[in-house]
Amino acid sequence: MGCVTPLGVTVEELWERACSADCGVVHISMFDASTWPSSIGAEVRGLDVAGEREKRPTMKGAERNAIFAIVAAEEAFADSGLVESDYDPERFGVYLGAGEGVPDLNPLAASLAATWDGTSVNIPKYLEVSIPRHDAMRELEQEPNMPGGHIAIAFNAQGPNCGCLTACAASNQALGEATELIRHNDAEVMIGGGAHSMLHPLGLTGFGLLTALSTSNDNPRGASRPFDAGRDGFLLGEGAAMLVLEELEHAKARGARIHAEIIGYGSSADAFRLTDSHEDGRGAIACMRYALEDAGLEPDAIDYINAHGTSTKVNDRVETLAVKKVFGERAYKIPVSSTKGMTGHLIAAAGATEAILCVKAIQDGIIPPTINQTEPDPECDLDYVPNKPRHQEINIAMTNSFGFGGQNISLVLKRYDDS
Amino acid sequence: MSRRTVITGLGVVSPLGIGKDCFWEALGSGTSGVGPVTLFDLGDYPVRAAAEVPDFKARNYIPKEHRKAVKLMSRDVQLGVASAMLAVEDAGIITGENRVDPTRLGTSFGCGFIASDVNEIAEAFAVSVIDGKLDLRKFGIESMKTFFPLWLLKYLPNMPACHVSIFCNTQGPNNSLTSGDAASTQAVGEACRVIERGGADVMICGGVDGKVNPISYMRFKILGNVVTRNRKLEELSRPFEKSRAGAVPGEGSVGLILEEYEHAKTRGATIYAELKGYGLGCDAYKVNEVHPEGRGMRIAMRNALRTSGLAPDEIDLIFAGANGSVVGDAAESRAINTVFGEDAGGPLVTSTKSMIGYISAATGIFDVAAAMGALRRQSIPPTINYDEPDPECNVNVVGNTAREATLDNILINSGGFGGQFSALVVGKC
Repeated sequence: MGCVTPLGVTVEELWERACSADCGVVHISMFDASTWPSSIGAEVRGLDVAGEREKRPTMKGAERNAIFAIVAAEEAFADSGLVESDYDPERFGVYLGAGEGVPDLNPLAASLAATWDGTSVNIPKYLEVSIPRHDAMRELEQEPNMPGGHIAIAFNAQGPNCGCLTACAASNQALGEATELIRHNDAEVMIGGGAHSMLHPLGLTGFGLLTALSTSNDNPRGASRPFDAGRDGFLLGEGAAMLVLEELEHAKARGARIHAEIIGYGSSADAFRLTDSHEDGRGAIACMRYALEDAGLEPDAIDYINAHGTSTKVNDRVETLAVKKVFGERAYKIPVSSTKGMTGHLIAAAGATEAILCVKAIQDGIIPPTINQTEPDPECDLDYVPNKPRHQEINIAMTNSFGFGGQNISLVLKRYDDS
Repeated sequence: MSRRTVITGLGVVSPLGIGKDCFWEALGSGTSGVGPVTLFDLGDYPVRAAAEVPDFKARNYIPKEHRKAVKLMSRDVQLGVASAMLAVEDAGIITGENRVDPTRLGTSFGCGFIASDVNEIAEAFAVSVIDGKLDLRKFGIESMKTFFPLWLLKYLPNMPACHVSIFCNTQGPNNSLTSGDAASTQAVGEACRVIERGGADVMICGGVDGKVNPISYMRFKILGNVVTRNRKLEELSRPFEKSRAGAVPGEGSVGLILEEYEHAKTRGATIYAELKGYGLGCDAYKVNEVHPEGRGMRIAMRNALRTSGLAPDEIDLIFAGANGSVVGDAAESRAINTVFGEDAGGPLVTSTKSMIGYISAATGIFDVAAAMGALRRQSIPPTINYDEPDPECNVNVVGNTAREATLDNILINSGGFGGQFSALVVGKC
């Protein structure tokens, strides 16, 4: 596993800070965000992005999202212990829920400023002035399939290479679909995960206009408060998380150290609205049930749920309702935490980040908390593991991701045991 | 027993017209969909060709009760939704007594990066550039004031699948693939896998892209993709041909209904073809140049054959990914020869890009639509503008005029920058 997140730029750092109930939400410092309604976010700090780019001449035009992706993938690959002689390159692939690249705003702004006449853009003039201003590789790197391409080059992965961009569900979906490719015998090894950085002016404007973001600018560390009565929107974050998925016999044959097993994957759609979840939680209920069915498990078997828990009024209420419908009375006994309180919302990269946190919870027997629980919401009355991590044996965890657009994904992870 | 996937509906919104029949007819007649750009003002810009969808009005393809959603859709999203709705109508899956259970109905789309309409964002940038520099403090205020409130939703690549899921109540698995030129091929292949593993009985598949807009034109030019030869516009797209000089940007979308075979038979559906194989591969070479031997494409083709259970000599025709790229078309030719052997008896090869231009993320699904027509008519649409063969592209190109042939199994190739490649095998059911 490997990651670059606002709560740590390695898995070790992420987990240590998660177990300390730390928070990666800050006043945005990468650019002057002071005039936006929301000027706080979860920034990746502690990674020299420009330096990492310079080390990699093939990634000349790559921006934060792709640099996060490659650094996380390299950590995961090193962690797996794989060496080139362990695998057939044609049977090693990549499946990412990866966002578009960070836009190159200066040439865009200059070109539009030079060609806007007060009511519309003079297009012939725009073409004339923009072409010399933009950098080819910077433009190419905005395509969402570039991070997956770079990772393939880094490890000579000539197998299946796919990308999806189902908003906040994307990297959870990527892990599920990568699992299906291995099950279907299309690959023995897949790097699954995601990367995204929308922490830029157009991202702040886009999400800001949808009134989806928290505006608690005077209290960044307290702003992301999933399930709490005072929640007011999500905290835009950035990062990448990568997991090396491997067919079991292939892993055993090379003596791999196995972190956990993916045993269930469920996918559904709300078919309701562009952003809001269906008020009865039908999509969330369905995907959790499909994941359980795929795992061959009854709801009783789940020890921990890592919620989507974005800290929006709607998601957290509906997710709570859905968990109750699926798990019945036992819902009140299952710890359900949203780690977005600490990490912020990594959008396409959220799902894979949360899968890593579930694996660590299983390995270490510690449940990462939902921080900033100060005022209970009567409609959100489950055990969210408030404020402090909890020591508890976890064998089977479920992680949920529900994306804008109504795509719902649920993944079930189990402790791997040799017997 | 393994679940089989067949195709029971088709919708086409293309530079050759809207609707499957006129699309197939135009392909068979070797009609070019390339002409002058009309969607925006080019002025004196030297690249004048595009393959545009003629007379497209999204409202005509969207049910009345959902038409207010059109203003929340960029052109690409509208195109994508339209062809999917045409396919849904063609298959008859959501109306009448044979309507599909919504929980057994999913959506799978292949989409490209959707460029913003410059007019929607320009004002905020224009007033925020002070002394040649972008003043972000001003931009924060101006952009929040002048952008359309749902601006972000107009351009997200998962929006075609989202709107379709709402209009058609598809509550099953739902994905939007963004794997470059392999995106729609993977959307179809993955949908097939969902059906195979029992995750759904019916999948609405789509693929859309639109390169005919100012930002994409700017990108096309700086990435060196553009054709500037002095020729009649309809002659500029010349896959495999000796004097080819690049791709012509296009736009359009195709919608398909994929259905589990027994489900289709029980419902008395029209079965156009069967999806027999799906293969993937990656160049792992460079992101801005395809592998000169077409490595990713070769691996994808072999995997498509492997999963179909067919031998290379059972493939009658290949719809190539070739789009007129000097390097790309040659690389694909080498890959084809490696897999199929380099001799006159090998499969016939054609590229619809010669007629519909380069529609990036949607190329694969467009070729599924073309393959369905070819199987039904037992005729191969030609690669037009094929004046002189190129020894670097030593494959059996069906040039200039349609050719009648016995067609049972067809292979479709796709892939490009980024290194992602995918192939499908479509055949008679």
